[in-house]
This record gives sequence, structure tokens and C-alpha cells, in this order.
Amino acid sequence: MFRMRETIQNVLAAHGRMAVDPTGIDSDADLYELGLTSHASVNVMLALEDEFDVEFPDEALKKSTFASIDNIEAVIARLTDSSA
Amino acid sequence: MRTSPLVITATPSTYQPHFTHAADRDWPETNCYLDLWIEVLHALGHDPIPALACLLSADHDGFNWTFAKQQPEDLRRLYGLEVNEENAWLTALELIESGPARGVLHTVEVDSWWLPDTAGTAYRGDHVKTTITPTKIDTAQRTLRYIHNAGLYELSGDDFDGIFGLHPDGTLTLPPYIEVVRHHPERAVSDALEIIVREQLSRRASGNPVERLAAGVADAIEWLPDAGMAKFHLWAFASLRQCGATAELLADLAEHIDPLFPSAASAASPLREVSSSAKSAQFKMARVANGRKGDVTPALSAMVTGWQEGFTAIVAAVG
Repeated sequence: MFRMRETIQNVLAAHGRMAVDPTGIDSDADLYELGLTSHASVNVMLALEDEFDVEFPDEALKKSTFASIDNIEAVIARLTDSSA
Repeated sequence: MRTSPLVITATPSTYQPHFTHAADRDWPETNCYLDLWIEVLHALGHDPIPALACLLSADHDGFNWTFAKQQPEDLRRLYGLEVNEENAWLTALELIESGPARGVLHTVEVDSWWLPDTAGTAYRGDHVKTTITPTKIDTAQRTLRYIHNAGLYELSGDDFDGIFGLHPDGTLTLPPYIEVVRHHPERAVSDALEIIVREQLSRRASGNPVERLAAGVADAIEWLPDAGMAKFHLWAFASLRQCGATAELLADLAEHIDPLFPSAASAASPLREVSSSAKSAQFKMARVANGRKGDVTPALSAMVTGWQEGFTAIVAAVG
């Protein structure tokens, strides 16, 4: 789980274009409040799918999925568990 | 000519943006002009929702969704604000400096390259046309306080020089388009909202414009994979974002006009379905643009249905 969080933070650092370093924020912090834009969230989604070799299901393709590291982690954990 | 001075004294550290720009919205940013006027009206102490009645006539012409703007005649009747193109015989910097003494505000076309609030998109990365309203300028200190998109910000130093073309090698090739805003309170009309809603609705799109948008999205499935992600973002801004944001703001308008037109608020739920489905469609189309498969049909169907239901409810309420 720690490695998953670290990977998510790295994806956010590379594609999130936020005002802060995502490695130093709380996992429940609102990423949109921290500057994640609609534009950047699309790039984050694509990078996460590549990084974890998953595809977000329809019900997860909504803004709230990318609102915090916790939210992203919960969805990816479900996807990687079900494919294991 | 009798005018009432327009002044915005808010500071970036304490300014609370309008609720339509909250982080929990589907589309906290719509287009630069629509967003700008929401915040200008909000910062002046007005409710910006009535001016969103302009969205009732939003359309898709088979190629593009309407780039919506609050209409000058609506701003005059709702708030007593007169908006005209500025007589630009001076530089943009000089015209903006003239604003406080004249009691006017300006909207100014600028390059997002120099706007630090666009750090998540264009700042020092892309040359993107956008519109701001300066609220305080200090040329000696090279600082500018300005409203842009979803908030109130400040730029300084190199960004100040850049935005006004003061760099030796960065003069502005063309003078920017500038509007001047004057306040004539007596020109506001007491029942303006009811009048404007009826006018805008009388000019509403024929048929269902989201059906035309959906056809364009289906067509894009063919060409987006070869177009690259930069083109995808431009296309998504012009299509899915404008449609989704229009629907989300119309939901707010529907609730606002319910006291005037009972049951109008019943349009809010289906319109918000359009908004959230457009967000889902945007994610799926990004996948398509990235060379993968994606079935966007369910999201588009939900958008078409939601728009139809929303407008049926508004038309029935307005009568």
C-alpha cells in the first residue's frame, strides 16, 4: 500500500501541475483545492492507468475519484485486487 | 453623464470566490469570459446567477458549442452596468491606470503565459488568450491585482512587464481588446430577470443541441487518436467542457428562477446529469485520444436525455 501511495504521488508530481509538492500533502487533502485542474486531472488519469495497468470503470470516471490521494488509492486498490 | 464609481477593494488573501467556482463543482472553470463576469459581479456585491440566463440560448451549430458570454443588454438591465469597447488610443497599461480616477473597470485580453494563477495549465508554458479585470495597479511597484477565471490574484515583476509588453523584445504586436465597464444604477430594470429569461428562451436552440454535440464526439473518435493530447485538450474545452459547464450553471439558474417560475427548479437534476456525464465523457475521450478504446455512448445518451428533460421542465415552468 505504501508503494501504491508513493506511485500515485509520483504521478501527481509528474502530471498534476499543482501549486504544491504532492509528496508532502495529507492523503485526504483536496487536490482540486491545491490546484489540480480539469485539464491536469485527465493527464493524471491516463498516467495512473498506464502506471498500474488498469482501466478506471465507468462509475469511477468522475471528478471525485481524483479529489484526493485516498480516493485514487481506494479505486486502484479495488482494481488491482480484482485483477490479482 | 451620471455614473456611480466602480471599485473592487477585495484582496487575494481574503477573497471568497462565488460558489459556482467551488472545488466540488463538476466544472469550476467554464470559459474565461463567463468565469470573469461571475467573479466581477460577485466582487461588486451582485448576484451573478441572473446573468447566466444567457445560457438558455446556448446551441451547437453542428461544429461548435456556443462560447457563452453574459450579454451587455442583460448586464445593463440586471445591474445597471454598461459594457462597451474601450476607446484604445493609449496603451493597455495607460488605459488601466486611468480606470480608478474615472470610476470604471476594464476587461482586458491578455496572454495566460504571464498569469501565475494558471500554473496548472498555461503559465510560462503556453500562449493562451484569456480575459482579466484589473482591480488595482501599481506601476511603480510593478504589481497588478486582477480577477481571472475562478478568483482574485496578483502578479508582479517580470509577469507585469510581460503582460503589458514592457520587455525590450516583448512589445505587443496588436493592442489587446479592452472593454470599459461603467455603472449607471438607474438603468437597471426591476423585473429584468423575468424579461430576460423569456427573451433568451425564445431564442433557444432548435431541437436538442446535445444531439449535435454527440454526433461531433462520435466523429472525434475517428480523428482524435492521430491528433495528439494537446489537440484533445483544446477540443475537449470547446465541446464537452462548454456543454457540461453550461448545463451545470443552468441548473443553478433553474433553482434561482423557481420563485418567479414555479417548478423551474425541477430542471436542475437532469441538467446536473448532463454536467456529470460530460465530465465522464471527457475522461473517456482522453483515453481514445491516447490510442485506447472507449465506449462513450452511455454518457452521451445521458447528456442528450438530461438536456431534453431539463429544457422541457424550464419551458413548462416559464410558459
